Amino acid sequence: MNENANDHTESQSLGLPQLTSAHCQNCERFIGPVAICPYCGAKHKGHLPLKWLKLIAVLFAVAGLALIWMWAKMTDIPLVQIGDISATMNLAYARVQGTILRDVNYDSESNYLSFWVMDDSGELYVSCYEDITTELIATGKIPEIGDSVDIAGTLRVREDFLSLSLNALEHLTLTQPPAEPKLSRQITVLDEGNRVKINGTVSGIRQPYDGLTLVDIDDGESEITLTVGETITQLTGILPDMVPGYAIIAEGTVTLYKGTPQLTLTNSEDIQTVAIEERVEPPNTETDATPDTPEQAPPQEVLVDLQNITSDDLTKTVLTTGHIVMLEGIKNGVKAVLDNGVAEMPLILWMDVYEALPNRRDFDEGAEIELHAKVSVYEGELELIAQNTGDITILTPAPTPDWVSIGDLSEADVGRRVTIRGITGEASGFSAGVKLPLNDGRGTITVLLWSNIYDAIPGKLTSDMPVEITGIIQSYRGELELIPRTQHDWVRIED
Amino acid sequence: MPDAVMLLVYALLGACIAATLSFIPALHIYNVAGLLIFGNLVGTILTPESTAFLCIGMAVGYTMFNTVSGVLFSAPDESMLFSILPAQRYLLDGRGYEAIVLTNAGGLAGLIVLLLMVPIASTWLPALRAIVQPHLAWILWTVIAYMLFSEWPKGTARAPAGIRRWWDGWKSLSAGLVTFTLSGLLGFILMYRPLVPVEVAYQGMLPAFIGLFAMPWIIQNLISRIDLPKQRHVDAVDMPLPLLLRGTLAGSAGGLFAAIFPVITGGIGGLLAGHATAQRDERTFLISQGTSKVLYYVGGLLLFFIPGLHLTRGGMSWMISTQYSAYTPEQYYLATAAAILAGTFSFLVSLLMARIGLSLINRVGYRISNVLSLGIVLTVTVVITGIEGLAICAVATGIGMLPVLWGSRRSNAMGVLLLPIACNVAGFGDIIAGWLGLL
Repeated sequence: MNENANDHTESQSLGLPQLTSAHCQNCERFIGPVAICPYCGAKHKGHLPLKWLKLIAVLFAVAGLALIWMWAKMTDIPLVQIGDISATMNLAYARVQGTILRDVNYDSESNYLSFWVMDDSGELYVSCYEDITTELIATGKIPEIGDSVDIAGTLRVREDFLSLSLNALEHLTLTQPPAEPKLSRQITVLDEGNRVKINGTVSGIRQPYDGLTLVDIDDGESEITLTVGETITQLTGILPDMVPGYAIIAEGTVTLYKGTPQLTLTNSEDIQTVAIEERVEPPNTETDATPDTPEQAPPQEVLVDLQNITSDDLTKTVLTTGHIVMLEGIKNGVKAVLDNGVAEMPLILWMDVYEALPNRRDFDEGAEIELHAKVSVYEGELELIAQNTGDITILTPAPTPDWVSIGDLSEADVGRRVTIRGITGEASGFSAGVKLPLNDGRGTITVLLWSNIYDAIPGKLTSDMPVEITGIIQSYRGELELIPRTQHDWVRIED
Repeated sequence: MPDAVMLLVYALLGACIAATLSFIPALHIYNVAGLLIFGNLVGTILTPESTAFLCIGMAVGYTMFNTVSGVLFSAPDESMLFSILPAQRYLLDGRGYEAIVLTNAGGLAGLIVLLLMVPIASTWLPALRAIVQPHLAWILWTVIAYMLFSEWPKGTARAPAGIRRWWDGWKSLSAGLVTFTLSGLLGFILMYRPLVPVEVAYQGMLPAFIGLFAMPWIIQNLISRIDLPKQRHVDAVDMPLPLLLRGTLAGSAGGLFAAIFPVITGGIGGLLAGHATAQRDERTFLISQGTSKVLYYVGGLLLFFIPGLHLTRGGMSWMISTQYSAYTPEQYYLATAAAILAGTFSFLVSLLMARIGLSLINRVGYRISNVLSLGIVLTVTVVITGIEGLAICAVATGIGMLPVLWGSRRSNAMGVLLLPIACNVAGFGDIIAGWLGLL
């Protein structure tokens, strides 16, 4: 010890770095607390045995972390009231329960979704960044106005703004209350946030600006506006086609616009249109069944050319003739376009009439027919309605649709009526129906089934099902689709 | 007194608070700033705006005064036996004061860089952010990879050939990887399952940071048996202009990188700046560290004031943002003025503080100052985060001791933020949290 002290004094007097207990007494290099000099290997008494300390540190770190992990797993995410969130809760991982009372916002470019959650004490902005939004859309877990929300995430407290970032799909629970059927006059400001279902007729469609569509619904007693934001169609699919006069059943959440209740659509699937409301109801086959007998022949036997049928003939039955140039499915029936070379006119066959046709396949594009039909009007346009199968005489059957192979189809075939045999793939739903792939061994094409056709197809539609499908080739976003017009265009091939 | 002048006074007051606390090693200014909010002083004694400027002063002051305690009251750990950092080498040569002057000169140069950035900050930085934002994930993972792969073996090369020699070389590298992994797992746990009371969540990472960084430093100082040589006072420091510029340039790059990118801290920015300069000159290294530190702490804080950017980077910004928002260019200019004023004041005072520190160091010694520090940081932890925070701090200390005892880089403990956030940015953070049963 005295020797060391002397060394210190000597080195100080020589202006050299002073030796301390943290220096090696042998080579004079700094060694800190270690017991063995890493430079010369000299042992130093009195220094802590770091070997044991090292092992203890490793064990302590691993065991401690394991305990923290177990503790964390047993700990619930704290539930907070929005009104109680303060600056000291910034960056907290917390849970909030409330209701979505404002429109959900979605930016398709950045794939960013946000919405507001309100509880009894306040309102909170929720952010879902790209990856989470992708997961939400993929799983169909899309927040909608009126939903009850239980959400956990990272709180962000700013001077004048509260927000929460959703970090995991599992930390979002959505509950949609059932919609209560109501008349529009029964909906008041007290219904704000409630889900209701309304049944009426589309009386007007407006687009005050890009991204917002307003559909006026008249239920016979009063009108209410259904608002459809762009976000809804981006997230849940396109709306079904509708024009004024269509019957409509819509579900939505009651919101207020300048104090007036309106219905806000939250999902494209919550809207159904029925294009028959103003038409003459189809005959009830049970009570009004009329035999296909000559007694039912039309009273007027004079052949009237299509171009000569006018509004004066409304509700009258006329005898006319023409070629079918187009056939498509509509709700509860089919619509053909009759052409006599001079004029065209729609011809409606309700499904019971269509299904009763003895040679239904002959009634298709290219067929020449003669018929007795009642003159009606729909959306200001005259149309003919065949009352029963006996009214229709097929003069020239429709040509059999071309059998094609999917591999041979191209854009040039758009609009063509074809028949394809193949095996179905996995079906996937969209807002207005179902899409499924059809493979014939030479290629795959998407078959688009509108909801009414899909619902009417007998039996369960499964994958790997051999089928023969007739339909029109259409192109959607550069890809060909086969669109059957009625459920009768879909024939299952029995094994 | 006009409002603007009053706000500058608050910034100077913040610098004075930082100076007062500078002799407590391991006490981070964020912990002190957190007490302002925890103590509910904002809105009662302080307005939100004066709090913001007080915090600017504290942050700027901390970057300068922290050098004094960092150089004088820390000690080289085992990992530095083979690459003793220049500051510690200066200290062991009795030139601690010079190390402080060089580092803070770099800090002063960093303030000048911030001043020069004012005309372009509000146009260039938002554009830079827009460019960088989509690439954040791979940039973060590249930084992590660089941080882990750039560590070199620290074996003595005296172990017998074979597995023992391999282990001799690889033990420090393994310790680095283990430290990064364990701290990363701790980060996942703390981010997905808050263990401290939700009412103090703004300081939720405080116990982890104290455990990972402050406690090992204190424990190391206590067990290191350090008796420092007598420190010399000098009136001039050898610091040629080209050397100052080189250090400033490297430090600016590292510091700005850390300031702009989320999760990249001043330590990592310093590491990058250090690698850019360490091979050239120890003085350049010290200057670059000072510049990097100022640009990270102060530059990062000023990003919050830049109109059109409002980037929240660093703990101080996060705390200020709960109370205050800046919207106009005037507020940005005033905040920069406050930073420059407080920074220049702190630089000058830090020279005085360094002299006081040098005289204290011989009278008080390491042990007493470190025991005092230990008591303070533990008290802060318990007061703010409760007994739960103390438990987290204990585990984090165990993890933080690994690099100290096994000779790897302390920056590996930054895995506590880097790993969970890099995973989240890359889009699979929730998957890992799910594997850990935290969802």
